[in-house]
Amino acid sequence: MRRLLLACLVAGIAAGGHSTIARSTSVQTLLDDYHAGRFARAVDQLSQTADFDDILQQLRRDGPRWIDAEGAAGRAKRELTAATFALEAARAGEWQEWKWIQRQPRMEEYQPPNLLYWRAPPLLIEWGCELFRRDATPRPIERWWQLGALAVAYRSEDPQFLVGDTNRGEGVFGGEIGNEKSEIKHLDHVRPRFPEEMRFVLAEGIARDRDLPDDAATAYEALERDPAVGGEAVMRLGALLRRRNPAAAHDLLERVDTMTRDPYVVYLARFFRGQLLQQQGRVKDAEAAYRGAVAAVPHAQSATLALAALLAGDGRRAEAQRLVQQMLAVSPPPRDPWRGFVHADDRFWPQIVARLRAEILR
Amino acid sequence: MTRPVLVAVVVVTSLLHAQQPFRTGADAVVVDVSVREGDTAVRGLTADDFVLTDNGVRQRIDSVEAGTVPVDVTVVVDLSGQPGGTWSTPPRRAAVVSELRDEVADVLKILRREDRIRLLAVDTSVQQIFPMTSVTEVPPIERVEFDGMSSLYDTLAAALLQPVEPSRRHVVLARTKGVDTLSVVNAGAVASVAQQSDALFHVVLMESAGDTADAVKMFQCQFIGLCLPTRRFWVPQHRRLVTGRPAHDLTPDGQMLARAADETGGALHKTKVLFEPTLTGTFKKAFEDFRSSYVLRYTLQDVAAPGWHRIEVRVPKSKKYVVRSRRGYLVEPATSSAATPTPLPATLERLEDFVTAYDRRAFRDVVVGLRGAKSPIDLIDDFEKGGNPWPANPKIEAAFALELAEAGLFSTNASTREAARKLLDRTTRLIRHPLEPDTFERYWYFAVLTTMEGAMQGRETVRVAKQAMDRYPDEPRFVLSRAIASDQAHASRPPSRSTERETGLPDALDVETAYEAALKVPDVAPEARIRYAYFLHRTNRPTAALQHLAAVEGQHLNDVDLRYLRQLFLGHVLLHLRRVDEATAAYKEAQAIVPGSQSSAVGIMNTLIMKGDREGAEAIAEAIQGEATRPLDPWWSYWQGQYRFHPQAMARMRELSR
Repeated sequence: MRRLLLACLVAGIAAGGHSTIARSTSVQTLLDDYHAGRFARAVDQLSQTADFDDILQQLRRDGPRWIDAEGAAGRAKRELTAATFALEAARAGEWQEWKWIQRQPRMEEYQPPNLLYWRAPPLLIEWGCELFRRDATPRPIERWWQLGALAVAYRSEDPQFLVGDTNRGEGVFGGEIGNEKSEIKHLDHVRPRFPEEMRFVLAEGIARDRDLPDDAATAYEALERDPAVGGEAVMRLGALLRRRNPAAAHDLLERVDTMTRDPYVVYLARFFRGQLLQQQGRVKDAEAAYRGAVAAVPHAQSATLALAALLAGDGRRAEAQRLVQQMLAVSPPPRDPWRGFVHADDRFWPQIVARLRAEILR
Repeated sequence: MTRPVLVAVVVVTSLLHAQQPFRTGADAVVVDVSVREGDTAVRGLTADDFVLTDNGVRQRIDSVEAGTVPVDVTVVVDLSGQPGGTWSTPPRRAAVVSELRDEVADVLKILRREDRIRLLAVDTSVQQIFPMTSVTEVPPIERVEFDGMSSLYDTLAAALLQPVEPSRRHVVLARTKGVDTLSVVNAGAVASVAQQSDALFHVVLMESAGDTADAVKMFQCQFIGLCLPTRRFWVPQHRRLVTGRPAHDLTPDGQMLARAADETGGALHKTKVLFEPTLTGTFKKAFEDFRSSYVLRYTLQDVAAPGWHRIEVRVPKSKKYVVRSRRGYLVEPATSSAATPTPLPATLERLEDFVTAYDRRAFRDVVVGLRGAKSPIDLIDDFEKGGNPWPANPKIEAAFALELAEAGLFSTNASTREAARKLLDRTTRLIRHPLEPDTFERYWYFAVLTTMEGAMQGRETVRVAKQAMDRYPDEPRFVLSRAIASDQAHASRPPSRSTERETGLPDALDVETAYEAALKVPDVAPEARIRYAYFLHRTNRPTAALQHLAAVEGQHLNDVDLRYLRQLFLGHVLLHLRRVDEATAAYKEAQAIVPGSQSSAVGIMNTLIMKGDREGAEAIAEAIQGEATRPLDPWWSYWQGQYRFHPQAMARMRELSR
């Protein structure tokens, strides 16, 4: 019965009623557009796509031929184009479907392990990554591509793609998978290629933050002194300890201001500190912390609303109203660091993709 | 059966401004009241029929009018997805937009020309699809975010925390699936805001949406083994207003919101029997109440104005009448009007004065003030302790830190210089871009290096120059800076007390290596060559020095200082080699480049002495001493390296920080 349903479902997906990219244009055409700098056109097409399996199939089938079309001279650039296009496709599709973890039918006394099936977006990233991995020594632009891949992976909100099953030991009903060979563990591919890049080390912590907090804390602690990511590591460690050790969390979050001026990090440190202080009933201190967060990223919704609610509760309704009114009036609204807390480096996506596109055009 | 009764309160200040403080003696309060007997609105009531108390004190009602107050409606729609849901097809944008347009059109049909509408949407963020707008000017809905997480409570708080014009009523009408996954405010805070809000608050629960999602999830888990999410794996919290089917009981959150809505005169609407409430249906009913309500006006008497005012309205003439009133309103204490900017003191002394001046872009005042500061170390200390005065723009903080550090670096006090260096080190760490060295950091390093070269901090400058070169290996000025700083440090070593290595200062070989590196960078090679030549001259290697100066000859140098120094040093080297006439010619050439320059005149004086012309030499010496003013001599700032570029570097920093 279940197999029949599954077959129907798969068939249904395959014959899905969505407008697919295959019907309007081929991936090769999109690659040509992307390669020629018509980025918006290609991305627009991707955003209207529902069938990313088809894109993956086409890339796997036609991608190598497209990359070799100009011979050795054009190969490196066309490889970058194809890999970056794959990244854009993964980002366009990652909120549609990312992976399946399928529970298997019970066989009398035996419960088989869950099976992991990656859907198209993570496989698109992996396809692009494989192109780069053929070079024993990474090209400088690969660092940017890998940062882009990390940004897309963070935005998917799935740590498994980066570090493997974070439910190991939790059993079938806890989501643990049995087919470990299907794991991608993207960071295992990237770390050895860029041992000096601390953002990839930080990713080891961020990916374990939700399910393996002790491991995440160890990773963050190891980065505390790093000039590039130390501030963010301390902020995330502080955030992680909010429930377990509020006093330590508060101290860590307070330190962040002396370590970085990255507005995303500073905002979150102040915002989390505001929440901690509010929970402790230190309303005035919480207000100051929220004000600090709003000062770091003006009109960001989370701290603005937390502050407004606090003020309203204190009878200062006029100021609360003014804050909210101004917050809603800002168009486009600023990216709210709290709403993108687990999306981490996705905040750099515009800069990263601009860099990759510039290299394609160069 | 609950009879719909509507009461709204509006505080009208003497100036009719929503955010102005309540003023005792001059403030009128406007309350709109709906009185019903069964399903029928009671009409024809007069002021004498109402008894109204404000904080327990009976008030004289000035007037009673039929309810024709224009209405501001804030419609809140829930477009969030199913975080944590299993396999599903995301909704299509066109369908979402089309549905939304239809919903707004339905509400618009109920409204009158004088009414206004605002549309907010619940998703990962609080979205204002369009602001409060006249019903005749509602813009088309084009872009919306949907299928994300739910910031339900945040959106409700935002809707309720809107100022209301005194002459209008505000209705918040929210349609929701009743799930919140991301808000920063909780249901208690929303309830608290609602209770103090001027708005009438209606919540329409779409329980079936949650049921469908639950059923699909259960089916997928049971029959195809998909029990876990297939996308969007982050659900920071899962707060619900109602429990699952079949009970659909209100959760504590739901009860809180229901009570709050009730206190505003609105309600939380759930499914009754088989009929799920709709947004427009609910609004239609609420709006009918408005049309049949009374507007009571009274002037507040014998009650202290600021604070919470509890209101009770009764109609004693019949016990059958149902009169439920909003329970109160808030009057905030008066606040002082916006202060006019205070003028800056004639002489800046305190850190806050410098910060204010910098904020107003009075850079000259800041520079002059800092140069005359009595205790730069105290300013640096205050700055370190006080945190970033420009939290939204750390680049201004960095530029200001540099201005402050400059005052410290030029101090004669070693502790002050040390504090300034620490400030620069700290700021260098803070301005670092998380991904890559950026333009601002490049200019930052250049400005820091020019300052440090200017302050003759050779050894420390070498350290910073190396850092800068690590970050920007292709920046010619940093390569030159390292060479200049090595030269400065070498020149400052204590004479013959210990070996050069033991002092920790660069030895001659380090200086040579640094200059040789700079010679390979075309952009700075001419300056490096001239400086290197002078170093070789000082270390008694005139022939090599001459070769380098000759190599620069014929090269077009835009920099007057460099042209001058080349000729000056050429004169020195030639004089050292006792080629006196050639030296004289070189010095004269230098004078032609910077007429009246003192160092070239001294050079000529030396050539005359060497020739035995003491009279001629004395005449020049007297002339030098006798002249009141002389042009700036490039030699005077030679040891300050690239400090001559400092004003431009600072100007660029200030520009980039805005």
